[in-house]
Amino acid sequence: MTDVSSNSSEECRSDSALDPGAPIIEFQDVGLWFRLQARRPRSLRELLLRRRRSDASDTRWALRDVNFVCREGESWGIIGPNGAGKSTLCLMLASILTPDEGVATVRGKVSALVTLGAAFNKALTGRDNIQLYAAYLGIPAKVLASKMDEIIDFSELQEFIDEPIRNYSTGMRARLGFAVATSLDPEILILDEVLSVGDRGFRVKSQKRIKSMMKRSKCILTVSHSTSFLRAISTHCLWLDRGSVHMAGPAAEVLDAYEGTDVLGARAD
Amino acid sequence: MLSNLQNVMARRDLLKALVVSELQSSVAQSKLGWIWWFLDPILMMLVYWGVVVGLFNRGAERYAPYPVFLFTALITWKHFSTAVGRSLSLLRSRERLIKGIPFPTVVLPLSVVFSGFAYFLFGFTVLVIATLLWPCERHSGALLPMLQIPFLMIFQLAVTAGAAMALSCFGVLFEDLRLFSTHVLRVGFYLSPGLFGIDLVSERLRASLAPPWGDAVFAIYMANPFAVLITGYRDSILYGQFIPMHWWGILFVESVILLWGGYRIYQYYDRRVIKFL
Ligand SMILES: Nc1ncnc2c1ncn2[C@@H]1O[C@H](COP(=O)(O)OP(=O)(O)O)[C@@H](O)[C@H]1O
Ligand SMILES: [Mg+2]
Repeated sequence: MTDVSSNSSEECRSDSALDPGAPIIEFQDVGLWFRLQARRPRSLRELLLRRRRSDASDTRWALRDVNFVCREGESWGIIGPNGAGKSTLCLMLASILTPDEGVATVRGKVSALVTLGAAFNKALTGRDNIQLYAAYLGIPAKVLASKMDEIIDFSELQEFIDEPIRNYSTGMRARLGFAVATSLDPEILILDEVLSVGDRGFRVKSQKRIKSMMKRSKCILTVSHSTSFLRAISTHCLWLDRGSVHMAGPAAEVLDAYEGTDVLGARAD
Repeated sequence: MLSNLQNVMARRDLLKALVVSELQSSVAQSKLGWIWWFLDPILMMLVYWGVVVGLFNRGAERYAPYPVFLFTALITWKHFSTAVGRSLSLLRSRERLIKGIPFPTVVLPLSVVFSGFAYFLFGFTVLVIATLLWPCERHSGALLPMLQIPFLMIFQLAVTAGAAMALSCFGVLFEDLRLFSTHVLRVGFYLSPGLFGIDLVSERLRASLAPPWGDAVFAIYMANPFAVLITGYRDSILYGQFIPMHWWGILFVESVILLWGGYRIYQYYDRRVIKFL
């Protein structure tokens, strides 16, 4: 746990040059650390007064030795207790974070439904925000123009679309975000505990859309605490616990084992 | 998605959308809308003019028309200081966005620089109108020096973009930097020839230091790219003069170093700072 500074950009490749047999996602001994909150150099003063070299003790591995391979057509469920590293894994899948050790290869365009609406500018209208969000997602202007009506229809916000979104409720913003984020078919779909958006009517509709996106994407990774949901949608499962892979394999096996553990007992140790 | 040149070029639509939405939201947030783009620099000029001439009673004759003289420096410096000030807290304030969508995050500091530059251009329009209304007696009559303006603007963009890229990373790593920055920037404004001209600086330095030293310190003073930029704008617009050739050399070297350095720093910290957001 000494050399923690070997972060290099080459370690996270995302080639779209497709070798048909190659797996879509390949993680080899992937590890990623965070600096511990209390001990990171928060201020210039601290840095100037106590010039500490970063050593192993002020970092914590959020993920370590993660190995898994996801092929086309597979749907992976990711389970594990809070703080296990599920969201961190998703950040690496989307190439937002790069591993500190090991190699993470992702071949294809990733679409992550994580924080809907973080791209919005509250002073702008719904329509302008659709354009802004689409620009963040890399949807070309021409493609967006052809999808605009469909997005507005789906969000059911026709009457409000030319109003600034500061007048929207949280649920309305989430609906708009969802409509934009799901307007293009992704190659790789990542869902980190976002399966309920908006009111009851919209929830049914959004789940239907996610299911149809799942059908059309090459592979899906879903973080969820609901084992019954994962049983229904995933072919494989990855069980993370305290930053390492506890178990990985066919969904039924892993989920049976996961359900079999005594939750309270697992917490105690 | 890494913040390299290739990805930024591939996502220049995003950069454009960010600048446009920044301008749109500034219109949407005020009653007077886009009129503020012109009103803001005019009010800024009036305040400084009132304070400097009214309170300290100076500058008026030597640098007449003083409001215009002052204004050139104000809008130039404001572009830089606003971009730098905003960069320092930029990445942290966009944490949810950065962790939610893969995109080359360097477009964030760049969009701050470019949208600020749009405001600068509105101020510049006001400046040109002001010089027409308020011509300077020392103007040589030559209009050709105006051709220097676009080049000066390019160097100004390069210097500001370089600083903004580097400081948006440092702002995450060293939180106190933001507190320091307001003071450093204020000193920077007084050091750049904002309230006075470089002739005064060189005069004072030569008068107070022995022969080689006065010129040496003045050369160091002129190493500040904003000393050259502000003087360059004044010479082009107010006085109708060309700036010395070696100043272009200074500007070129400095902006290349800053732009390249800022870009490399950003590339290095690009993914690393996300952990610290
Ligand atoms: N920005 C951060 N700074 C420091 N530690 C972090 C940060 N984000 C996550 N962690 C740590 O990494 C571990 C994994 O977190 P996370 O991936 O969010 O867990 P999960 O999504 O499985 O609940 C946790 O121990 C958490 O404390
Ligand atoms: Mg999580």
